[in-house]
Amino acid sequence: MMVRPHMDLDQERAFVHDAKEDPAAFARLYDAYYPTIYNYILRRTADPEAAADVTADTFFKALDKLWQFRWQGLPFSAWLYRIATNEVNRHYRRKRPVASLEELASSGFEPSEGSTPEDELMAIEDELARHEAYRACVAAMKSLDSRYQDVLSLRFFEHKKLSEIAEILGKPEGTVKSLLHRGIALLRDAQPSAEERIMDSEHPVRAEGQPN
Amino acid sequence: MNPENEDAFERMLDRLDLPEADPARHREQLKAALLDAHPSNRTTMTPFPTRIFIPAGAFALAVVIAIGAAYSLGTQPTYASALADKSMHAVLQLPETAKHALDMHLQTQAESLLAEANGAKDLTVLSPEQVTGLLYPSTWMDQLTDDERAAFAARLASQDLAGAQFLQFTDADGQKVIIAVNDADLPVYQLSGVGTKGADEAAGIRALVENFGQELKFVSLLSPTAGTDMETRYAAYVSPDLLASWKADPEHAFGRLTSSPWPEGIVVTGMQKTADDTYTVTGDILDVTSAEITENAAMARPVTLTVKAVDGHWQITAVSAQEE
Repeated sequence: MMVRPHMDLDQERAFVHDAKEDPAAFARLYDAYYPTIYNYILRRTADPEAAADVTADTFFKALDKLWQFRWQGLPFSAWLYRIATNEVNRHYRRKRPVASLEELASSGFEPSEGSTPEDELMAIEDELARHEAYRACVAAMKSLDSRYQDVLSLRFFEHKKLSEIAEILGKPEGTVKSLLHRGIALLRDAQPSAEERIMDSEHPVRAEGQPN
Repeated sequence: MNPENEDAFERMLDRLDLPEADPARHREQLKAALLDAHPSNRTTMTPFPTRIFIPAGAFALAVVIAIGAAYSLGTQPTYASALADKSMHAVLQLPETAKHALDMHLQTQAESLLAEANGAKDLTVLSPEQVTGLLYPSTWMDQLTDDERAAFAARLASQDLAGAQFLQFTDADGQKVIIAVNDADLPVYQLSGVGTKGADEAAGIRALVENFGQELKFVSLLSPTAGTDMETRYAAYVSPDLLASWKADPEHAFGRLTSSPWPEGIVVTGMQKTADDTYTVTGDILDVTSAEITENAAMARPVTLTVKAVDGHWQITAVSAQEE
């Protein structure tokens, strides 16, 4: 797992304050949280291209709304997670096609050296294919209402505590708890085969004829 | 659900092996775009007026109703470039049939148009007031025919440009182009000076630079006759002052330094009108060897030329290029 830069709350607060006027401070926040937010969105969508698109929407929205951000003792990342969650749900609602890599390249987005964005996203696609249990889980999750998807993904993909999920989603902790409980049940019930696939992938080298 | 099974399922979810990725190219590109769009690069945003009146005169009173929260962003190239990018993104998201229909509507390829806009050094956003102001006398629109100006005025008044933002730039031929980008970020209208006086002017300047490029190989800078050769070959293209300075210091002049490679010509890649009487022309000097002539290949050396109207004639007044 990649090491993500850590920023303590005081440092973060100073950067958020400065970022409203200073691009360098905004760049520090971006550097610190791009991996977190991109990976959160990637896990929600299981689509590297859509994740890139929604990540861009998330950070542009954050930049646009930064002047509205009021420090309330919550991590800046919670605010970014909230924007990202809304953007993921918007992405599913509009289901707009994402610009293809070929189109991006033809419009001048082609890099001049090293790996191309296309290579990068194909590598991520390959990486996703290796995580069978996760893919089974996200496929099952997509059939649920977005309220459950939000809570389940923050809990099991991002390993957030109930209190943190409550902060991110702006819901009471009790509501989060019941959404989570109900979501887990729905996830199992919606696609029982998914549960099998998830469980099976926990034991990928089970020998033929070996009891389950 | 059996509570025991539920716990097992939850534990299993907790232990999911999750993908982790770092698309570095995307991260870098997005960072650059964000920093470019940072509020410190913008001026104060003020809403468009809801109604804009085109002045009476040659045209009937026309009213553009600007709907929605568009922004009057003055002339910052950063915002203009972001708007062109956004519009390009919207075009790329269109299904092929819709894209084709848009190209037909614009009578040009929307993608190429926006790419050219984004590559232009003078790309700017015009407010609706500024656009309507172009209809007054003494603007570059004087170069348009009366019919073209009337069509433009009528188009400004049409409902499909309500809420539009306007990009303006100078294209490679030195002509002003206006693109209207609607509230869905699509380029829905373009006006360029095709067939205008501007086009003739630009074509003349392009020819001047290209003809000058053809002469370069005939002036050997190390020859004792370099000064006379320059006089013979360049006098029709460059200003007297520039010619005099080159003759006094041939080492800093343009021409042939070695027998091979030699400068075969200049290819014009861009042109910008920087003042009423001045253009900046960019291009490449093509340096070739006899082998490259056979292979149809050449080394390109970027060059920038200043072309000015002196006594009613266009002349090259400055040239700078990368070292050979």
